[in-house]
Amino acid sequence: MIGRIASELTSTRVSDRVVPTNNRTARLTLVASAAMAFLAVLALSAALAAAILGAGWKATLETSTTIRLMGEGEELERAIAVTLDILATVPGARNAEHLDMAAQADLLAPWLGAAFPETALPPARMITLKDEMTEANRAALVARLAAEVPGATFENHGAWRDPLIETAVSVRNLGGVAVALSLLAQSVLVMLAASAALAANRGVIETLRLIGATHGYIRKAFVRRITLRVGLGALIGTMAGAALLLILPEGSVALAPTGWGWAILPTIPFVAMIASFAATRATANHMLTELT
Amino acid sequence: MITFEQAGFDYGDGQILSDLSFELAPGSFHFLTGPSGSGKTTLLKLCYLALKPTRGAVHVFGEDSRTADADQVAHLRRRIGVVHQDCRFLDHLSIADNIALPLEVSGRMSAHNLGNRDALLDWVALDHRAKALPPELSGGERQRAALARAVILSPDILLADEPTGNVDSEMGERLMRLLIELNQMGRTILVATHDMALIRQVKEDVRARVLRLVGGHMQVAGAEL
Repeated sequence: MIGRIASELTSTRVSDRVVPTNNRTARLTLVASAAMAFLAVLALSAALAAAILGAGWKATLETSTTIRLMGEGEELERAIAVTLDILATVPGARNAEHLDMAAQADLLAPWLGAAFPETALPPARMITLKDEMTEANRAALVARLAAEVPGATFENHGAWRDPLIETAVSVRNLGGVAVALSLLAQSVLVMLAASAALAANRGVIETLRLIGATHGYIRKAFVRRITLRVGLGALIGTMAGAALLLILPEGSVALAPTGWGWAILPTIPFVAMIASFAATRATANHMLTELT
Repeated sequence: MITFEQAGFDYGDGQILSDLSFELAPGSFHFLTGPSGSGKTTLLKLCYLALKPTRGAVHVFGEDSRTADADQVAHLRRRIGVVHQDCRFLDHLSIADNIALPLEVSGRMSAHNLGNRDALLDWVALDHRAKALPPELSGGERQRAALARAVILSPDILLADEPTGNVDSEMGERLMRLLIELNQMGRTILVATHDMALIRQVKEDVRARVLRLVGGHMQVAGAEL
């Protein structure tokens, strides 16, 4: 396959010039390819950002759990100590942390205001933890709390967490769909540009046939020219898109890919070239068969 | 070299040619005459396999044109030089590159053949116009360039469709002299023209035969001029 593509993309001095270089469809092909690659870069970056965001939400929310303790004075302090002791013995109950009154007030400040007095808060405390427990360990923990810490409530926030996790997964999937649609649109546009370029050069094709050119020669000349033109346009568009991401203000860098995300961008011109190669080849074969 | 056996052709909306039987023998010179619309161009297209007969058969170098595939057609066309009425150049290439194009598409581009190309430019008196683009040439220059391109692969047969149609009588005669020269070198020539005055002008210099088409029928098939 690669050998066939390479063979179709090599040229001789004259065959390289058989296809006109400077007509309207040639320029349109270049511009269309650059524009689609630019949009593909943005779509890909947005999709990667959405995927990272969605994965982050999912990872955080899935394990976020609290234990609420009711009571007052020494009784409440004892309940906190017993609960932390129990959590220390349960496999998968990680990062257990008691939120004191000040921390709880901070947590509620967005809703109640910073000036809300701590003494007005109900006499309850929270212990947060990361829940990586098995079902059996979780059930055992709930049973032990019921027996040893009266007034303790194990809360995994399922009522609001599950829809949020679903949303996070949807955001990630939508990013993937956006990239797929962008690549599909790019491929379709490249196909249309290739068809237009071939149609615009029908006279050239007919003349070449009349002087003894084989279909293979004609196809090769057009596939080479259009594929390289699409590749050049896609390269320009990709570089422009990457440059835009690089110059985004610091605060909006959430859109810019990170790490391996940058490594995906150079694939865009190659995808465009492969789509162009296949489309031009198929269109050229169709047109040549029609002319026969 | 080319044999028509009761060949006919129609485009689906009426018969253009019917019941044509004749042969172009090696080294012969034929004029294909007839009024406009009599089917001269269609007959030439049957000769260079741009069309296939809808009835009967046309054999080109022994190959039945009806069964030749695309690659066979391409290879047969390299043995047939054609001077089209509208020349059919690639307008973005220079005249020199246009003339060399058959060498390129047949994989015969070489320093030696490019030397032949330059000699041909000289032969058709266009050496000073080698770098010009086709639209920059006059009608006569274009026809001579088309003739040079048609013969660069040393074809066995040369077909010319109204080669003098767009040039004055002096240039027409000059082109005819070039065709006669080629015939004297052993090439088979078929010239489609409705210009009887031109034929009369050159009849003393060439031993030609006439194929006369009227209404798609061959009225005269091979009479001596």
